[in-house]
Amino acid sequence: MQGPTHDRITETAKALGLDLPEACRPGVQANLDLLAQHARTLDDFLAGDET
Amino acid sequence: MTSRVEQALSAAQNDRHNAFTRILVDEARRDAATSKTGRLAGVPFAVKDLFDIAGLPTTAGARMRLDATPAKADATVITRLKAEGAVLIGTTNMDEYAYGFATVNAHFGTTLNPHAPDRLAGGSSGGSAAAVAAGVVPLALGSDTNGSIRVPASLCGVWGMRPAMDDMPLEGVFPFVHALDTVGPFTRSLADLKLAYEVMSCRVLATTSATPRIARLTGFFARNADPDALAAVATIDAEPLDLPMAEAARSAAFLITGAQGGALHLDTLKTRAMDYDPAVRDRLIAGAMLPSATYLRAQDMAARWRAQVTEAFQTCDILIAPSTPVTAPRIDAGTIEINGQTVSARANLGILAQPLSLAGIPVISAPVRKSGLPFGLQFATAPGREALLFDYLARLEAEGVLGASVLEAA
Repeated sequence: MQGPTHDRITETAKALGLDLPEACRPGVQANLDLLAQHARTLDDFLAGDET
Repeated sequence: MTSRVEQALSAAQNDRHNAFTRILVDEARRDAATSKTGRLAGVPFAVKDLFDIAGLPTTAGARMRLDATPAKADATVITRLKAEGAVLIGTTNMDEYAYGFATVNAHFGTTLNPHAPDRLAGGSSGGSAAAVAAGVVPLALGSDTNGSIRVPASLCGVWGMRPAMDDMPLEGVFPFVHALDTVGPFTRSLADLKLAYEVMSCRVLATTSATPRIARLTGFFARNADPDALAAVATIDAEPLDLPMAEAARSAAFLITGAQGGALHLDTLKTRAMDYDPAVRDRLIAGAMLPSATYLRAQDMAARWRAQVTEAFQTCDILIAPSTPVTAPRIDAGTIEINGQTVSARANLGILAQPLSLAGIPVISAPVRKSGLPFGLQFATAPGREALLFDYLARLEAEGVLGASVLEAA
């Protein structure tokens, strides 16, 4: 079953003009998760720095 | 002097560590026959496979670039080394497009650590570090975006330098992340490192008599380092210094790298995604998908971090931190332990190098003199204080604290 994350990756790839091969999807998802972790670290720091 | 080149060529041809991707026998013999003067006369050297070499395709570690249009000229830094008599003997292995800390390449294989062939050499300039550590060449060039010189220098037990941003010309160097890309040397001695740096940067460093103020970085750098590395840092007389933005700076470097690397490769990914090393491809695609707001916040963090580091240099001259969180991990493991967590080696061996990359400052990874698996310490200074840094390191080398772990070429 394809969930919302799958749809988001598909939509973003489409917006970039990327015809995302199915074989890439698990690796791309794992790397997006890693980038999201770093974005959270950044957001947490900036939120604390601005209070 | 030709014999040094012949010895290096022979050693490269018998390389057991998969350090080399191309050996330039004819070109090296031709240059050796004509290069008889200069500060590097007859010194054989190798370059990471992302520097332009006239007449050859620049692969950047990618199979899809094996038939790329040959470079019209040597990269500027190669030209400068050759002008001083150095002789280029080959190109070295790397993570594809320099995106990794392991030198695990799906097309060209994994570079083995000369100190323990079942362990990683580090990356992405691992072929260059291994070639120097194995005694094949006394000098090799790498690039360092997030730590790609300092990580393999640490794991292979040699000297490696990331110069300050914009200190070295990048003409003829395949790009990765324009905000962070630099190039620099690997050597077996500090004196060679200084000489290579001077030639590559067209500078001559004066000897200084000043006593530098030293700070060892705590906080993020201490939390994520191996106890042995921290013990090595503790042997050096230095004041503790916490830079509280370091963790967020590392994340900012990670995000900027993903976004800029992804943008650089987007057009090629649209048409040839399946020709990439899968591990690199998926990282690049994810980076290209990063929201612009996240990228801009990372750039904002970078500016704040640089201001914090600049402020730190008001009260100290040299910052010290381990180069890598651990010694060389086993190739078959794929993961390392950092601060109690199991994480990917490929993505995290540079955790302690990335914040200093983002600061844009010159950093030398110096090998700790020890038995067993090697590791390095980072010594960073403010741009323009390189002479002070080299003189300080020379004292530590003379005291026996630092020194390369070099093997003899087969």
